[in-house]
Amino acid sequence: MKKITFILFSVFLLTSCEKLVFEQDQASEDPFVNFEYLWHECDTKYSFFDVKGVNWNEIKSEYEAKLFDGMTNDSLFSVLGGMLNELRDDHTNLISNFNISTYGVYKTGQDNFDFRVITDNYLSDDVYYSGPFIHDFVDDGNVGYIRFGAFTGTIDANNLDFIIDRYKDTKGLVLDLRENGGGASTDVHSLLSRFVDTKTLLYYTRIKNGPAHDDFTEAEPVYLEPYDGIRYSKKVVVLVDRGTYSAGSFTSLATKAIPNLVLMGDTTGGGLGQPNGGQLPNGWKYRFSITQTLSLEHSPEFENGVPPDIPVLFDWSDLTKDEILDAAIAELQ
Amino acid sequence: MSLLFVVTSGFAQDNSRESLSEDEIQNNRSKFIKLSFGMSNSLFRDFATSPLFYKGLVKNTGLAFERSSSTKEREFGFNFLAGNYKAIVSNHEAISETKSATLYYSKLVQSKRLSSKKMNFKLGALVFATGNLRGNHDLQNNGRGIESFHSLMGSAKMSFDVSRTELKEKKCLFIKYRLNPRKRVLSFRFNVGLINSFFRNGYAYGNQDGILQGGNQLEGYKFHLFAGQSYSTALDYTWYLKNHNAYRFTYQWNAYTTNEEINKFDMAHHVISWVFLFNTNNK
Repeated sequence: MKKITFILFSVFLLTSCEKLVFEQDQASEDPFVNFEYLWHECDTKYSFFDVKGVNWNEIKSEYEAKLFDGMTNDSLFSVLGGMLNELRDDHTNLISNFNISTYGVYKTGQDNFDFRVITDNYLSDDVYYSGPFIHDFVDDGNVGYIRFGAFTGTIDANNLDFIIDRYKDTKGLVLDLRENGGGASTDVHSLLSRFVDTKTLLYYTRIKNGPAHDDFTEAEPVYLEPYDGIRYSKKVVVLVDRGTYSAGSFTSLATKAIPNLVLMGDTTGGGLGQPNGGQLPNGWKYRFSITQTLSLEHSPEFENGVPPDIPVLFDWSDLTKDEILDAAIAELQ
Repeated sequence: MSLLFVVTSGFAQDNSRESLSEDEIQNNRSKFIKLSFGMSNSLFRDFATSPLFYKGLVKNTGLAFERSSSTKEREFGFNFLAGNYKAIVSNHEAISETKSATLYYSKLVQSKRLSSKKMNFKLGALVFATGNLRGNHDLQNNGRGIESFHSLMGSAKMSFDVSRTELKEKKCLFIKYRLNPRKRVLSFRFNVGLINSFFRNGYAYGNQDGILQGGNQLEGYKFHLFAGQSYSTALDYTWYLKNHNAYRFTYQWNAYTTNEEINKFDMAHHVISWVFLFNTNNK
C-alpha cells in the first residue's frame, strides 16, 4: 500500500506542474524589461502614430538612452511617462501607485472658460440642476443656457425631457461643453438624439487589428437615431475649447453632421480614440488609444482637435463678460 | 516534456468480478450522483493585457453523474470555480474577479491486456468545455475578459483496490478501536488534449461598442480550431460505506494554454475536493 501510494504520488507530482506547460513568470522590475514591454505594446497597438506624425522608433532611441540599472521607480516612471507623453494623447497614461502620467492637451491653447464669470454675469440666482446639467434662461429669457461639465453616464430621459420642455419657446440653446474632459460615451447619443429628427450618420470608427501602424478593421458607420419623444429642432450653439476632450470631442465631431448644431469657441483637445488598458511586468498599469474615429470624409485628422465653425476666444482682461457666450447668443438672434 | 504516463505494473487491484459475464457486470454497475466541494489554488495569465500571473485560492463546487463497473466507466458533470485572483509585484496589486464553469463527459473502457488481478487499467476519452468570465477594474476598458476552451482528450486511469479485507484491532495511546473491513480504491487518471480549440478576443482585445452605441459585445472574437494544449490529472481516494454510498478525497490538476503567438492565455487549477457519492441503484 505504501509503495503504491509513493509511486502514484510521484507520478502525480511529475504530471501536475504547469511550469512544464507555461512560459516562465515574466514579472520583473528591470527598467529595460519594462521599457521594452511598454514600447512594444504601444508600437503594435496604438492607433494614431501616422495622424500625430510620431516616429516611434526615434522616440525609443531617445528614451532608452535615459535608462540605467539601479534607477529608482520615480526615475523610471519619468522616462516611461515621458515617452508616452510624446504621443500627445490624454487617453494615454501610465499609472503607478505613486503617480499618473498625463500629457495635458488643454495646455496647448489658452484658457477659455471660467464658470464664475457666467454665474456672476449671466445666470439668475434660480439656476436649475437637472442630473449632470446646470441650466437657466439668458438673454432676457430668449436663450436657454445649458452647462454640461462631464459625461458622467447619468443622463436620463427625465433630465432632458424637463430641459427641452423648459426652453421649447426660446430662440435657441447654448450647450456649454468647455473644459468637459469626457467620460461615458453612452451620454453622447442620449444627448444628441434630442437634436435630430431622422437617422443621421455621425462619423466612422475602426480598431487596430494587426501590429503595423496602419492595420485597422474596415471603418464602421456610427448612426444616431432620433429620440422617440420631445426633441429640440431650433439652432443650438455648442461651446468648446481645448479642454473639451474624448466624449466631448465625439459630440463636437457629431455637430458637423447635424445641421442645426453650430460649434463655437476653440479647437477641442481631441481624444477620438478609445483607450485600452494593460499592465507592465512591474505591476504598473497603462492605457492608450486603440481605435480611430473618422469624419464623414473618412479623415482621422480630427484626433488633433475638432475645429469650431466659429472661432472665438475668451478675453481675460474683462471678467464681466464671456466673449464666447456673447457670440453664441448673438448667433441665435 | 515529462508528462508521460507511467504504467505501474505489479501494483494491482483484485478484480473479483472477472468471473462474471460482461452483461452481468454491466447490470451490476454502480450509479452515483456526486457532489463535490473544495478549494482550488488557481492561476491564469492573459498576455493580451498583462504579462503577470494572477493567482488565487478559489472555491470549487461540482455536480456529476457517474456509472461505473470494473469494465466501463461513464461520467457527465459540471464544475464551477469562483473567486479573486491577484497579481502582486513589488507593492502593486491588481485583482481579477473570475468565474469558471466547465461541462465534461468521459467514457473509459477497461484494457484487459494492461489490467491485472490487482490493477484495473482503463482507457478512453474525455471531452470538456470551459468558459471564463473575468473582471478587473485596473485594466480599465480591457477589464472584461471572456474566453472558452474546449478539448477532446485521451484518457487513462489506473485503479488499485486497497480495501481492508479483515477486521483490525488497533490501539492509540490507551484507546482501543476497531477498523472494520471496508472497500477502498486508490486511482490515478491522466488526460491529454488531442483536439483543442478556443474562442477568444481579437487582436486589440477591446471593442468599439461604446462608440457604436450597442455594437457587438463580442466584436473581434475568434474561434480557433486545432489550437492550444490541455492536460489534466486526478488522484482519488475513495472509500465505500455499507449502504453503497461513498466518500472521495480528490486532488485534481488541470492546465490549458491557447499557445497563441500573441495574446496567449494560460490557466491552471490545483483542486482539492471532498466528494459525496450518493448511490442511486444500491449496487
